[in-house]
Amino acid sequence: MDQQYIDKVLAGDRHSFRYFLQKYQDMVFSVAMSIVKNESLAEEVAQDAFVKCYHKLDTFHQQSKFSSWLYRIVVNTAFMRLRKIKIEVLDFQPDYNQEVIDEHELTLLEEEERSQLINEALCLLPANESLALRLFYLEEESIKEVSLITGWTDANTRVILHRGRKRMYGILKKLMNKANV
Amino acid sequence: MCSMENKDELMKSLMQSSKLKMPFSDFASRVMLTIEQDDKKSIAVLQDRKKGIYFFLAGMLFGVVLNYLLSRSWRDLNINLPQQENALLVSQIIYALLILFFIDRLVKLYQLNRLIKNL
Repeated sequence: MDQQYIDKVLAGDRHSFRYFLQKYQDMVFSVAMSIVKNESLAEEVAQDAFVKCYHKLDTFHQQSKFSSWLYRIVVNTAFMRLRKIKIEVLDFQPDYNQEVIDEHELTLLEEEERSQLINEALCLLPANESLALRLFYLEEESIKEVSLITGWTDANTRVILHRGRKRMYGILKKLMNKANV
Repeated sequence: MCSMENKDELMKSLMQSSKLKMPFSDFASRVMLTIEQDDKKSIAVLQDRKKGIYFFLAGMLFGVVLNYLLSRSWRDLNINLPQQENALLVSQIIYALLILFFIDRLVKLYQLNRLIKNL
């Protein structure tokens, strides 16, 4: 389906690009948020990434999925933007080895409350870890695809995912404790 | 191993709640507008490039003709030969410098189109 619309855009039908915007805008925004941790910055990154994607569409040669190619543009744009404005994302260091998440407590939460809690936790994670978690668990990309999107090696991706998971549970536990106090 | 898989399942279900929606409803329209403006800019640069090449060629031809006419008119004015040659040399140097300057402008115009695409 994506290829059909790529062909249309390349043939000069600019309006067919709306299909990609509608299909991928939420995930592109989520990926950008994982890195820049700020709504308006993430929106700017998403906009830049889509414009770049439109102009470079002729360089997409189906060596990977279109979504992976697009996410790679988003990741590069987001990290470039971070470097440009020199934002230091604070590194949250919980003592995660001692944290055991209460699954029952999490399931008791309302969907909206849980979503808020998880997104808050993701905001506290370092950019590379939240990005890896979102791509691997939410977008269900394989380790290879995550490596392709981020430019990390497979081994590095595994390490980042492992650290991200542990740190995420630690942060969630702390946030839940804080909410219960 | 089993516990790790369970934890992975837990993480997977947790991450399903991390889906974010684009909070700006006019996002798609704004991106399309930017793309449209970029396309217009790109077309304008292409047209300018074409005009630039035509004027460059016309200018080159005009310069050759002007140099020829100047050398002929100096010959008719009975100025001595070394002075005639010096004047001709100066006009040819000016001509060559102008050609180099306009080639530089043309190259920059070509680069501008690539720059717009890479924005």
